[in-house]
Amino acid sequence: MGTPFLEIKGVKKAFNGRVVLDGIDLSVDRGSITTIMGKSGIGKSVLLKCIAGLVDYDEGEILLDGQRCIGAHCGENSPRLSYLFQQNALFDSMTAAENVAFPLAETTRMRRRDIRKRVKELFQQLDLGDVASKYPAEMSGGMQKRVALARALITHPQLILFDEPTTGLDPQRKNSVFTMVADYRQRFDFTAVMVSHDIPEALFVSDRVAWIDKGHVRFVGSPTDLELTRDPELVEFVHHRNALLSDLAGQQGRSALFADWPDLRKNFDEFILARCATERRRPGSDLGLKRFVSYREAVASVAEIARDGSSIYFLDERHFGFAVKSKSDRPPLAAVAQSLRDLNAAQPLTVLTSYQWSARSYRLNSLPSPSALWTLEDLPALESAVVPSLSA
Amino acid sequence: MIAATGRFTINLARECGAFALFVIRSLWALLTLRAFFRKLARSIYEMGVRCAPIIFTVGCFTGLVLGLQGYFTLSRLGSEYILGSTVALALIRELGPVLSALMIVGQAGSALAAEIGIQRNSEQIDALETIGVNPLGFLVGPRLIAALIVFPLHTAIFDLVGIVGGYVSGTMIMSMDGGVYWQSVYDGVGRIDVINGFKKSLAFGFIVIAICAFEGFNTHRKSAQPGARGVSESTTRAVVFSSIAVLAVDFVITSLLG
Repeated sequence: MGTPFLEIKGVKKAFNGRVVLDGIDLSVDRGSITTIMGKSGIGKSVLLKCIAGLVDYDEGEILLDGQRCIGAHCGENSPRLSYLFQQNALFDSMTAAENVAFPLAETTRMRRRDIRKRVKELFQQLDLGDVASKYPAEMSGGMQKRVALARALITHPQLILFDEPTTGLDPQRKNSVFTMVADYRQRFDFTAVMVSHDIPEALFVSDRVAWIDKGHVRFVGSPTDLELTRDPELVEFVHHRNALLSDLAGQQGRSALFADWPDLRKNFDEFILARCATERRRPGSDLGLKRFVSYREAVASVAEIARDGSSIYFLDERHFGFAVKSKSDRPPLAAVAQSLRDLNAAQPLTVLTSYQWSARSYRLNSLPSPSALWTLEDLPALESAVVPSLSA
Repeated sequence: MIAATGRFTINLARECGAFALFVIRSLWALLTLRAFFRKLARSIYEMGVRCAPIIFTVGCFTGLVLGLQGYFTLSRLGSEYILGSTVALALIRELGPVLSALMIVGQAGSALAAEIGIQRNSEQIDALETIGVNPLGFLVGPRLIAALIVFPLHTAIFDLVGIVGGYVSGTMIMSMDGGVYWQSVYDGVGRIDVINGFKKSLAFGFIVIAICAFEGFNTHRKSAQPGARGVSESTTRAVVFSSIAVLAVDFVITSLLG
């Protein structure tokens, strides 16, 4: 394993005697997305500002690509860094195009014509053509975020720091911002460090998660490790939102699935997944009332069949399922399929209100992690994990 | 009491030190600033053109009132023939530099403090730093230089309009002869008066813009409450401190220059 791209070693910071960071140690691999989580006011943004050089830390060391000096003032050979601020920090007296051109105009000797050309190219790549001449006040929050990201990308940074990039956005836009971060990371090849409270959305795009508490890094690992953690405080924080949604549906949540996963694999053979096919899955989006009603009906119709299996696990607003043993008296998948078929038949077939349910069975020991249950569609390599594809 | 005095003195010394460093760094940062003249031109426009109407208006009324009051007072002594030099000297030596500086404080200084304060609150200043642009050089430096150009020009406009205002009230409202008025102006005003007036306006310009920028730039550090209230506090402080500074510096310069 190579040297980490970003190394934070024993960083301490206090404000007027109040210790905020008390020896933070964290390393970030090149090309990864690392999300820093924690309760409000525990110094996540301060850590980000320490990395960017906006706040001087009291003790410790931060190395970016092995260099102590971080930021544009460190010369052309230093690693390039960009910062996406919580409120975007677009210059309100400049248009979107001027905002994006600003870093090049002020810090390089590029000719204006070349800068304009580069900005135009980037706007085309990011599909921002319509807003080039608009001022920040004339743009929506999501659009401002994209322009701010374009400004961050124009200098081809090696590291981008995202300070709560989804603050103030609705759930749909939150998802699009996270998708955008993951997409741009691949297209523009940068390393990302992100501060976010959004669970589970942020976990979908993160390679690693760091949890800060009382000035220390209390947990660092993959999102799956985080879902499986037994640390009570961490469990409460991470599972809070999932718990809200699963409580609404009257079921065990996705987090419980992670927690119970080792036992499920030991005691059961298959996982039966019921799926609603009306819309494309949007992770973490809120339950619409009609979809929720349909969900409750589907769960109710399946609950009787699941009696011999595990609890029913709520995965998201379109997926739920339970584990069963292969050798049971009645083939459960067929029973579930029949039950859902009846439910589908009872629903009016209109585009807006119809929620067509289907069911599939997956062999538990073929699934690498619980998350595979809702990423199967997106991961063709896992198709082999689908055992009998018995669509209802 | 003693402890409070000590704390006040230490804080004052600290603030003065921070202010001096702020000014030095702002000027130093100009050395690395790209497109300086474009930014200077914009600053001159923002400070100069936008303030010109208020300078013109206040200068006009000041001259009119000075003309009337001067005429009433001087006519009691039978010396109304020196009205021109009285009005011109009052304007050129004192009222022109001081009043135009106070008007610019009210118009451009408060706007500058609020603008930089909002930029501080909305992290635009932090954004400049992460981009690699020195915010002091970008936001403050050109405005300091612009103040050295704009303040003397505004003072000149104020003086000129005020003297014409004195002429209007002395000759058109009162019954003074116009030729006598202008001759008195010509006889009474020396080159040194004009130079000293401009010296004052240079000093006022520099100190006013420096104070307003300093207060706006440090909104987050000095305000008890963040956000809009913080910007409001820093703008108020900027206007109050720079107005006091204008009067204090005026006294010092007057006592030194005579």
